[in-house]
Amino acid sequence: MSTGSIDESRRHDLLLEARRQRSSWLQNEDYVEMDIVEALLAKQQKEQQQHGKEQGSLAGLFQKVPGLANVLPAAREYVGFLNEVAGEDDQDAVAYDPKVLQALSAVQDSETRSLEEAEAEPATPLPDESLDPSTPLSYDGFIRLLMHPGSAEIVKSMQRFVSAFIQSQERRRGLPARAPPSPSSPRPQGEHLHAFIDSLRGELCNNKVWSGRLTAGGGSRASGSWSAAWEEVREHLEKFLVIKLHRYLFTEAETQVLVKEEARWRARVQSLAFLGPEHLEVRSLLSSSSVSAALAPAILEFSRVPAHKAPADIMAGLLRCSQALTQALVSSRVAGTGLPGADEFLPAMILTVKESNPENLRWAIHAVQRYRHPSRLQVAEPAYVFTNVLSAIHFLETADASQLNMTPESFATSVAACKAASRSLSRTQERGFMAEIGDGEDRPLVDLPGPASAPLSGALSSPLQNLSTARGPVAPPSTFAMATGRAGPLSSPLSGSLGKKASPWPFRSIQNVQRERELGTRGAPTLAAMTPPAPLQVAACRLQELVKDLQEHASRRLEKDRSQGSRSQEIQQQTPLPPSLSSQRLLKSCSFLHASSLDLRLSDISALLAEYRCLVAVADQCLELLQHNCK
Amino acid sequence: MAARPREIKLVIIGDSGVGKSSLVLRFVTQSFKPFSESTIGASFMSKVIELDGQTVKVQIWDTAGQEKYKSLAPMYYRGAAAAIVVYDITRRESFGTLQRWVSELQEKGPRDLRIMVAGNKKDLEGDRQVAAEEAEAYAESIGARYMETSAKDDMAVQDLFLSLCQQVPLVSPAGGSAIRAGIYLSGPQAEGKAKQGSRTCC
Repeated sequence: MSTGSIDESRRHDLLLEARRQRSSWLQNEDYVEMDIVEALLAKQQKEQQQHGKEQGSLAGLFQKVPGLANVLPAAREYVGFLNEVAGEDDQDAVAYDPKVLQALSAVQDSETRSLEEAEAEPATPLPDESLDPSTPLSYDGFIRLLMHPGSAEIVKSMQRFVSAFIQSQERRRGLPARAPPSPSSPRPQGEHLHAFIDSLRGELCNNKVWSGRLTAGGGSRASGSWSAAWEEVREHLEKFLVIKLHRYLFTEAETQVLVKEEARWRARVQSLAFLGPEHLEVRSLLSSSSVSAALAPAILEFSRVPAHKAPADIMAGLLRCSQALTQALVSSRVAGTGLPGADEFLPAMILTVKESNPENLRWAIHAVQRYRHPSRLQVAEPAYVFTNVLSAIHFLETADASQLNMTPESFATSVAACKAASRSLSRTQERGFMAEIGDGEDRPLVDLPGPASAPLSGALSSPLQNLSTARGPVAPPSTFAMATGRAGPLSSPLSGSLGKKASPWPFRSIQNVQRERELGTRGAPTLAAMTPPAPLQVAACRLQELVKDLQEHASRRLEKDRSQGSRSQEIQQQTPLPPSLSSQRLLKSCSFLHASSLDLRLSDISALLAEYRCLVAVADQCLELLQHNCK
Repeated sequence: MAARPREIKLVIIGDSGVGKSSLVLRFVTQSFKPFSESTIGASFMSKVIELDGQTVKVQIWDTAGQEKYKSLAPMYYRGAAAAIVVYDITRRESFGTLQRWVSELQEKGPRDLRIMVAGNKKDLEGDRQVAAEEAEAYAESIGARYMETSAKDDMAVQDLFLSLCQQVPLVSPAGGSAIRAGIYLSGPQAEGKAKQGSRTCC
């Protein structure tokens, strides 16, 4: 397609489309834009019908749609998912010819190149971030700079890199896995990423949107400002690209190794559930009546860490956890001693890791090791914290009786008891939980039309994110993300690349809560006394947040409906939510809140609701347990 | 032209209870600028010092001294330029531990690591169990310097840290930092697999 053959209206259309596509690429975590593709396909078909042309082959069709190359991997997954739903298991059915892929990216390149001049034309004012380089650049500000038409070339480079990266990861598909990464097997993907980021520096410095920030003359910041400014941009680029690529950070084979490693690790930690301060020689916690209560804020922070996708965010989460840990150590220290040093910090970190034992921890750690900029892995507080987390993991993996102040016999007995407890748990857990989920399946979802309410969507996201470790497999893998182009807290990083073979995510909270229950009632009472009920504490924290949010929604909704004089009675029955609410009632209020307050599509609602049901089930069990404990 | 590294990673190693974190706290807090860098207690602290008119940021990594965590230490001293190994002059046992730490440090630590041996709790002279001469002779045998300190009475603490940092070799300006090498999940001994194999039995 040559530039000359584009007529004026087509050119205009393409320009707008390119811009729209670019901004949605920048704003959405996953680079899938089904809506745009559908719209384009529809437009294409209409045009072809108008011109009386015959429908082209699949490849021909793709060549006419700009940006379709970007969509293919996701489309493939989507088809895979549909096949799964239909009960078919034919991987080849969705395979595309690599030649088609190549042709597509070539087409996309030539088409976007033809728009370069057009892109440069409009004199869109520069964003504030570009004009005032003396202030730190936030991530949102960074995205705004990328959205500026003047950044089109930069974005195109990034898109080309993302496609190339994904293709190279796909090519490694058949290769044997090399995870976990180690010094002997370097991190080519991470180096690839950072080499690309470094290569962007020159381009950015010569770009009018960015040069103000990045070149020496532009800023008024203290000496070394421009290298500091570049580091800032580099950090944002790393975050943006890793989030974009989060499904492809590890090859399929590596992912399978990771899943196995994760399962082994979680089983190991479960078998060490009996560990307490006396085994780890952490003096300041020995006198504390409940270790898990003392460490609860740190445990909560730690359990949230794997929900992050960007390595920098994962490390920041670990730092927050360490700060909470230090607080706990300071407040429980023996009078007269100084600030806690490593003699106490490391064992307390081991306890925190053991107590929270979050899903996807291995994934998060490997993602940091492979993709975090090397300089950030070696210096300063976050690096120290990360080293401590690695040490804690290594200790938990390798510790033997002598390292835990135990005889080999008592160590073996304790491990066996914990293993037995978690085995009997995994047998009972799934059945009971699925029954609970199925319970609300036939509830009406969309028969309560109502006005869209803005505050709810924001407020809703908080319990969803906070409770992200409680996600369950009831939500179909990434359909929500597919439909909306949003990955959000609903999709697990591994689910995308593994399809149905993955879903190794047990209901952590429930599992642990049930473990507590089993140990507390039927199991060994001595063990129960030794095992602090940390998951319960953490779950209680989360539950409080959830209930508070729900109450807020309900009362806000009530206010609104009172003024409108409609349906107030029904809501009054549901609010305020009593502490002893049953899952039925919570479910009911959830579906009511969802359906009536948000103008969502059916698929969105069911995905959200599935997530909510998990949360509610967790919440309900926690409440029961709390009541049980109060007695 | 070679220059001082802008940042120095310094690990502090020694038996539990010898006063590692007290030494760090004493060093970091005794200046006009209060320590503002650390949010995680005394386990990680940093301080900006001046060496020959150049500012250098010293990162101090504390390590857990309990015997059970000994195998983890290599994860901490990877990339370090300097190490202070501390024992308690009133506990001979801690001097024995120190020697084990040092031999491991020499075996698995970074090549250019500068080591300082510190005998702490000099204020408790009456309870001394290790003679200064003995420790000094030991330090010399490993090519390190020896100093006796008291974190409690602030004896020789600044000197200990500053003279150690002074010994850190210069780097080429391109390097800029004395900190190198990554950290990995695969464990503290992954760097030398052959070594690891021969060591597992003991």
